[in-house]
Amino acid sequence: MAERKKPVSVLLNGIIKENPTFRLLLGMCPSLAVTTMARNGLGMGAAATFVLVGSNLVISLIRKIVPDKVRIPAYITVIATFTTIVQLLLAAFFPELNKQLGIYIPLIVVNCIIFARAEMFAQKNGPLLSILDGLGMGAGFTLAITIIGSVREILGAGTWMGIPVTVNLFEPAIMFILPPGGFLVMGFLVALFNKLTDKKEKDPGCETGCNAGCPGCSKAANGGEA
Amino acid sequence: MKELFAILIGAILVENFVLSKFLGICPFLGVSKKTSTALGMSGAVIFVLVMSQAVTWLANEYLLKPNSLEYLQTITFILVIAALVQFVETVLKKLMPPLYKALGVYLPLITTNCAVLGSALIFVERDYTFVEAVVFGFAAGLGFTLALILFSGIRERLETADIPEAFKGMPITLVAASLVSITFIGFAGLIIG
Amino acid sequence: MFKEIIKPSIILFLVCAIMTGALAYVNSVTEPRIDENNKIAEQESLRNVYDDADNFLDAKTGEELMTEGIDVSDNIEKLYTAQKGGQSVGYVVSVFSSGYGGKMKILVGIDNDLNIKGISLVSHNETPGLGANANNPKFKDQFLVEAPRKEFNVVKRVPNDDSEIQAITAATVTSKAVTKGVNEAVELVRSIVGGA
Repeated sequence: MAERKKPVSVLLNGIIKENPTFRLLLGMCPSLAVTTMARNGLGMGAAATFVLVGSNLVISLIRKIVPDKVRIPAYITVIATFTTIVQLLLAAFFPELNKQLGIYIPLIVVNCIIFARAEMFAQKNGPLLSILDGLGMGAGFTLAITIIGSVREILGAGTWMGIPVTVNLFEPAIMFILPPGGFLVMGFLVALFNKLTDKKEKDPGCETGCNAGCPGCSKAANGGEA
Repeated sequence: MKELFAILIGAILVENFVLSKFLGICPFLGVSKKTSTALGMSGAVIFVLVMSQAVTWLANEYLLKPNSLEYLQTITFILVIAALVQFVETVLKKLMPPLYKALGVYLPLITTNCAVLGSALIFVERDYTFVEAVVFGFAAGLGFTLALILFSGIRERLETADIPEAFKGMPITLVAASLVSITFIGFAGLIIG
Repeated sequence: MFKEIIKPSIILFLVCAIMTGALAYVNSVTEPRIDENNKIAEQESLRNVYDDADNFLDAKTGEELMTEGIDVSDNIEKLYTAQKGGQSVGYVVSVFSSGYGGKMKILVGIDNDLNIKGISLVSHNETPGLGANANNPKFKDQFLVEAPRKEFNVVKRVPNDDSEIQAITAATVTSKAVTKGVNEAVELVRSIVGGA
């Protein structure tokens, strides 16, 4: 059932239709943790996109050589390598951002999005399409967490990207920058996204072997049965 | 001893992994629908966490640090965790079938659990000793369990509540998580002196 | 046999080897830059609490100081010597203290006459808007005096003299923790310069 995928549709897929954050609900950990400021969301998104594109590309290139038995450890190694590369690059060239994002940078390696896309896409498609998928999903993720970060920053600190915006409109509520605020904003934004796109959550495709325990994965929720 | 106790209480309540540090969210949101599955997952997580803290600490101390290979931490840790999970699964299946039946299905899901890798990264950041790292892992697991069980209770109630269409499923779960998270903020300040 | 075990193992090994090789390369390229960044950040944070020093000597840890016969509290992390024009003019102490949200690290700049040059919370988990305000001049500047004979004390009203520090409203724990850290730093420097 190999349908001919149009490059543009592959690219745009990750932005709305299968937005990893608001629709597939993957990568929740960093989405909630680093979105205390819009700028952090942007930074994390960029870093994750780098890893996503890199790992998608390499995995797509080696997909026919790697035997099924060692598939998982091989993919983990690839993803971990790109994650470490991004860690080193950030520490060298963007130390301030690196400090802000802290342990969530190395945690990109367990970000469900990357593994899920490797299993669902890169494993079954050529390098060019895989790059596009990585870019699209990365863009969708970046867009989503920058929005979350913006909402939390504006409501919680009265600034956006560090620039004061609400000055005298209302008193910012610190709560939005604290953990409860993260959950709350995420909940409302997902609901909003549902309303606007008028669809229900999509299963990220656990049947194909995504052992990632992601929120939308009904397999885990029902104790092992799909 | 006092230090260890502080680490224990700290990780469970003050900086609860799920509700405060946002580690372990994916399984938290995905598996907390039923209390029975919540218990199963929690058990598996504690089991793996304690062992992974021990093994990763040893790997870091005797393999990476002496050879200045700290930059290989991420890749080493995650491979150790993946291998450990695989190993535990195989051993359980062969030697303790009833335990495997209870926990087994959750084991593969733990590899990508932020909480496991996160705990390892934290002991590096805070330069914990072997014992401190393992206690921390155990406590993190307990905190995870606490959050998960509290939450599954709430979610079971939510199932029968009247919720607006757009909020059904994940959104209302997140809002509920937000409320539980607020209560945990009350624990800050527990560790003094 | 070959196909089942050897071939997958070899391939996995190759993948690991190539990836690790790439990593080692990136690491070697970025390492000098990263070390440089760390050094700059450290110097900056030291200058933050001792602005008229032009150089800071490499730190001595708590343990090293103890072997030199100086009595050091467990909470002292490091002691930097501050220099101006080649002469030692004072010290910067990095000390730990237990705050509201856990362990925090404080840098205290003290000159040879036991005047506090500056303090700064460099890592902490204090509540934004409350305890975190300990890093604001309004609270910190209270310490910029000659260190008191005994120690700083936290009070919840307007201070009567330089040895009293007014706590941040609703953040007494943080205020006390910071004060304790500063006191320990002063104690250390006092034992080195031999102040009265």
